[in-house]
Amino acid sequence: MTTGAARAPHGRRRARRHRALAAAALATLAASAAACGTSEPPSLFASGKVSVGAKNDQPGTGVVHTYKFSGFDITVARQILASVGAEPDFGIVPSEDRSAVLTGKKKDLVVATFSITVDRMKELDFAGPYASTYQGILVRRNDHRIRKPDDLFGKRVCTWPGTTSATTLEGPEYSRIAVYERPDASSCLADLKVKKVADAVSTDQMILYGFTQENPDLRVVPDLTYGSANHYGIAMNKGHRKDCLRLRDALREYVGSNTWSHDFSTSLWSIPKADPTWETDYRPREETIDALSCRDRPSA
Amino acid sequence: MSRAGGGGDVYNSPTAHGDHSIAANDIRNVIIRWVMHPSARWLPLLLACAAVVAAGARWPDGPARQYVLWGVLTGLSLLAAAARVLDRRPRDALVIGVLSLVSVLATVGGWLTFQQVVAHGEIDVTGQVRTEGRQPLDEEAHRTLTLRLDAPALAEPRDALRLTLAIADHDPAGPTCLPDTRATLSLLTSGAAAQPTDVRPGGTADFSLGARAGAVRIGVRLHTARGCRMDVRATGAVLHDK
Repeated sequence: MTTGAARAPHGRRRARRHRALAAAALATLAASAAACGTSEPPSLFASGKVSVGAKNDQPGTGVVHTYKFSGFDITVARQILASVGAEPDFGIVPSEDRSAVLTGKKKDLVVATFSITVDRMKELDFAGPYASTYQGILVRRNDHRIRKPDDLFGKRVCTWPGTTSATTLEGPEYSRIAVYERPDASSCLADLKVKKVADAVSTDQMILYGFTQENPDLRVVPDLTYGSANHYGIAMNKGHRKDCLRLRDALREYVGSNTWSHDFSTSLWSIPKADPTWETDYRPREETIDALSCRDRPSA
Repeated sequence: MSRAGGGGDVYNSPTAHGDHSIAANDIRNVIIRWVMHPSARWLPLLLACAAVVAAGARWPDGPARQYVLWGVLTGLSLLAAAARVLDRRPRDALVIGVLSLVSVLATVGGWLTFQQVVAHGEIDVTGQVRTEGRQPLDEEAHRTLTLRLDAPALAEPRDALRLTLAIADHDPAGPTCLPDTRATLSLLTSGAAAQPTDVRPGGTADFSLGARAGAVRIGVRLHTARGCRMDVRATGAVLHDK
């Protein structure tokens, strides 16, 4: 049996121990809260290597030949990443998976003729645009039936899923056009060239001109466009605003330089041949870059 | 100032001299007696509460910021009046007098502020803006939209209308046109200048309405890039005096 005098020091020790435990618990909580409060994850460029999703079946913009990526998207990715001290590690991404590979953290960036839209800006951040283009029509070279918008009524027009081109032609004003979808661009080209079950292929003119570079038996119908201009951006998951702003700044400088013109006309040489005003038609304005880059919705 | 005390002549200042001083002291004594009277304890609070009830009955709505001064003065009057009620020490004539005076002055100030808001404050009429015309708008069709405020919305006379306009892509899944879009707003009401004003999406235009009109009509003309189709709506409409 212990006396009260003997219990007192023991009680004080226990109280001290409890206080120490409470202090440790508080410190742990504070550290966790501080860690949670750090909203910005490590930079995507920290390792110097950035995984980039790109297209593999779009000559001129994103294509793979003998395991090598080339095209304007690829050049843009290389140029912009070089200016932030990183280099791209390209991987193939189908059009319909461009958002999913970012939200699923399978890729750091997507540079794949990916149009900036209000809906996509809610889910992803974009640095861009690095190019702007209208939706056009690709036909067989010797087919002259389609010259103006109404000529497409009753014709079979091929598109592929996950693109804004498919969305534009779904509008009620185009209900008389027989639009159908194939899994990808290559299938649509086969339908137009080989099987001849398609009268036309519709997507962005930049992509269509790229197709003509490897398919001389196809041509883009001049002065025939649908919908509004598509603005291509470099997409990334939300939560990397600092990285996004670095890309935006690099892009702003790049788009305003002669390097942009050189890279564009090298990758998409068929466009300067067909369009004398290609630089003003396809080069984005600096205000547009500011309005669409690294935001949850466009600024006016 | 003299300290309050028990007897009737205790309120006289020992330093006062002459007829004027005697008269002033008499007046002060009357006021202090009145203020200290048990029946006057609740008077400032009743006055403040009556002002609050009267303001609530006539509440004209509009943005909350225009009621800030009224709120501060009303709060002050209620607090001072409540403190006056709770202070039961018979010798605190000065404190009680100050509390009563502050409460009454704050009530009067609050009431005057409220009357100013009623007569000249901002009136939110956003919910009463009617849109006439077909949407979406584009550059090619040269269609215009009319935003209209009818007579019931204009019951309280104000000389200006501040309009905030939202412009959005008709198809948010398609390419966005917002960076290339603006609208020109013009007042179409007869008797007032058109005052054409360019606004960006989310921007605001302020129109002088001039003479009192039965209805206010504002024409909206959209300027956007080729192929763009946009939806326009008023997200804010506030009548105010310039």
